[in-house]
Amino acid sequence: MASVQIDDLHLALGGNPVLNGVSLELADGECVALLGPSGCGKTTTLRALAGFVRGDRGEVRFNGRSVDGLPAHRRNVGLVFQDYALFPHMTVAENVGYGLRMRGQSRLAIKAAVGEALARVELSGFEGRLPAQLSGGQRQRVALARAIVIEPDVLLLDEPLGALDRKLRDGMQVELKRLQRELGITTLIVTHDQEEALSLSNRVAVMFAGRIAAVDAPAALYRRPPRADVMAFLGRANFLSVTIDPAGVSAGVLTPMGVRLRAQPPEAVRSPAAGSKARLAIRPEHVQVRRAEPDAQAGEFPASVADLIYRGALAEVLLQVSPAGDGPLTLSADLPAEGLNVQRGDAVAVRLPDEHCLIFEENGA
Amino acid sequence: MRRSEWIENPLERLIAIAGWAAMLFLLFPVVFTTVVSFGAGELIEFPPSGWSLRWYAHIGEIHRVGAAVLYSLLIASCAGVIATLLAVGVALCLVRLPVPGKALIGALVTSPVAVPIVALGIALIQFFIWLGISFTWYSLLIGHLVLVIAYPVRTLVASLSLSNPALEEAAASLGAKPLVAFFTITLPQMKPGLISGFLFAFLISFDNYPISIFLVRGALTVLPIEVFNYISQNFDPTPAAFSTIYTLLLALVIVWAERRWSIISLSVASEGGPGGKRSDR
Amino acid sequence: MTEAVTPLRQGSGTGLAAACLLGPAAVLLIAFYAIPFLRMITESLAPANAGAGWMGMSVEHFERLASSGRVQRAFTRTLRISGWATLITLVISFPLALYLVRAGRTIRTAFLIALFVSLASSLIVRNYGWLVTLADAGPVNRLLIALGFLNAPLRMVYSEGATIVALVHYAIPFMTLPIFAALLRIPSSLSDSAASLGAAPWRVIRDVIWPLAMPGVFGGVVLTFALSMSAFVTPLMLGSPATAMISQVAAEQFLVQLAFPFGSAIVVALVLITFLIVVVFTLIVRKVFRAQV
Repeated sequence: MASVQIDDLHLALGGNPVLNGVSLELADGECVALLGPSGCGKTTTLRALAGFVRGDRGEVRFNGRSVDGLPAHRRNVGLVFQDYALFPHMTVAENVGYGLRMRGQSRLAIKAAVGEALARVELSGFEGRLPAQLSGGQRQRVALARAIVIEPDVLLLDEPLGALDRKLRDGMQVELKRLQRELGITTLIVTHDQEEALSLSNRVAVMFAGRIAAVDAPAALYRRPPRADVMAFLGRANFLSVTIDPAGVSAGVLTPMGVRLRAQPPEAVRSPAAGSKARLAIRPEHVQVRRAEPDAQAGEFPASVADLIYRGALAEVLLQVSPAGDGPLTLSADLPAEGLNVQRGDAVAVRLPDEHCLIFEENGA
Repeated sequence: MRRSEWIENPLERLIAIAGWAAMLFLLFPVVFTTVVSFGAGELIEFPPSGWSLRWYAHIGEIHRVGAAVLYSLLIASCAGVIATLLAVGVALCLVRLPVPGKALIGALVTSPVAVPIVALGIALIQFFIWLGISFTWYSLLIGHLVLVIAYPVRTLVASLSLSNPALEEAAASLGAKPLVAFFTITLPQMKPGLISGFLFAFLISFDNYPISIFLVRGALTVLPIEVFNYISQNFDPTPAAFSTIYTLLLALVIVWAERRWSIISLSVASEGGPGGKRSDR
Repeated sequence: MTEAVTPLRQGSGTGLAAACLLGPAAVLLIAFYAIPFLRMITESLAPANAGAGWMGMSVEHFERLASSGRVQRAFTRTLRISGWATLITLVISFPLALYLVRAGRTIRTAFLIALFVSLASSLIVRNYGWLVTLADAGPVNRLLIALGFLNAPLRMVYSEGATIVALVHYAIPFMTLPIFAALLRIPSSLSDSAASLGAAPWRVIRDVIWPLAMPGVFGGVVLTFALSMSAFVTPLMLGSPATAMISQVAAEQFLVQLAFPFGSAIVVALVLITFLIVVVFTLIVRKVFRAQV
């Protein structure tokens, strides 16, 4: 059990800079998801923790002690790969017991520990099977058992649910959470799937281009992301250009549709200058839509339904707005499918509630 | 990608040393022979006391070298072409048609590789004598054909297995008749297999001694036999000059074939199956 | 050989198509390969002193084989040479294959080209290279004398040792390429996993890489052994009459003694013995290494 400190890690591979100053802390027993698009450097960060690569600058510490000098086989980390990497020529028991064998434990101790680990992942009785005889979900659980049985300081998971189909994935999400909580091992999950990140972790760290863009608890990060690109990556968001009131942000912003809103920039982010152009962001589930009645309410603006995409519980409504001046604008709204009374081509009235709007700078993040 | 990721450790260094040592072992005889071929002395000596090109000219003095070269080129070319043509049919059949007893046929065609070549020569010489067939270059060609056909079959089967049968189905859906589809779609995909198969068939025939020694008579002779005889009877570096030219030409051809058709990369990939998960992250 | 059955077309047309595609090759091989070999086998079972149109079978040639001291010694010598050559080739080729997997693209391509050129090169040229290298006035002797290990040149050529060295040189590509191909198929995540579980690099090789490379190793070993057992040109050029291998003895029976049945018997015995050893070896490897070969 250990806390992990990644301190300003820089790493270039083959001349290309992959990590550009990654700093992240994991408290003892915490589960952190490292989320980002392909190529952002999250896998490299994981490999740096495991000991397969070494930073050109910066340091990796476990419990405050630098591990940079330690090669992979001398660090006490548990690793689960996306392809599980089970040794095909060894039985389940031999796979799970391998790490203990390397640590020189006795055959009896290994047998007991393996049995216990398999019971934890609900695979008791599978000791004698070969990986080829297991299903995908079972293989993943063996890989997990193999990683936790050595009681690692840190557990590293690389896209753990990526190879599973929908149903298995949902089931495993619950399993993984339970396991991590029970064992209390410090865990880092690397993923490009934001649902995985949000559901499995205590905190989510979003990574772009070799740097950490934002770190926060899942709900906080989802509701008040500090940057526009983080907001766009985590779930879906609508963006529109707005103008700040000459009196400043607190006085309100003017939307292209002519509606005035009182939106807030996220905390710890400086507000755009008064009178300047900025971006307003709102998530589809907060956009309010109703059939256009003769009496327009305050804050509403007209739009037409361009398309309707049925998604089971929700329906995504694509709205076409025609503000004066610039070209047409498309907004996406998520409405409950049950009781939906709008159709394609309908004229509707749209409202963007103040409390769910966020203001970001026009350029940059 | 992998190299820069390995934290330097003694084992990796050891493996690198072993690898280079093995490669040097492989190359040294070639290097020494080349050096010796430029020697001025009458015998093989290393390092040479002087430098001269006379042994290259002396290649022409090898007994019946002209006839030997011509016959070798003739037989090797014919063997290469015919073996490759036949192999196309065999490979297509083995890979694409559900024929019973495929394994047996495949084994039959490729077994000459594993059988002692001498045995093949011996079996054929008895056979031809029994049948009363005279020993001309046709009979020698037949002997070489039996030996070399295995190679294009192997490379073509590998090439064909890598290609995608869905491409032919796509061609058919676009209106291509089977024969047209074959020539425009299937055959181009088999190119690496065709080239490397032909090359191997040609080279093995060109270099063959154990079959040729049994099947040559009278005016018929091939290069390996004449060179071998020269080596047994003379101690000057003429064969070294011959070696150097031969190896140089061969290296050029192989590098060119690899550049143009990737014959090496493909044959290694096919042997290894649809690529291991060497993920370069 | 991969048996990827991807039918081009089904139905009754396939029989005819198969016949056309296979026909010419099949005719060639049956007429000039299968039949001559069968004839040779029957020849080896022919009674001695049989004129044309002999009847009946006899194993006397094989008996003569078993009792001939010269043939016995040749067989033992051939087995010994083949065994050593195979072992040494494996020891050299496995690290070479390991290095190929780790090497950067330029080095890997260069090495592979070198292996291919070696593979395709003339056997006579290659053996001659060793005649030069191991010659009395050649580089090895010169080096050993210069380093002080020898006072006078050592006669190295025309010996069993030289034959083994040349066979190893010949076999390296045949052994390295299958092992290399097998190593490529091992996902890198397996060695990473083993390392993360605490296995030092040499243990990773022992526990994970070697067992999984076994099919390639097996293929290379069997091929090298078979090639050594049937070696003809190499011992002819680098050995002496005292170090003759079986193929040479058989050839001599034909070309010199004109004893066709006896020579045939020797060849048949060679093929049988090689085949038997390979089968036994396959069974051992399957049992002991639990490998799929």
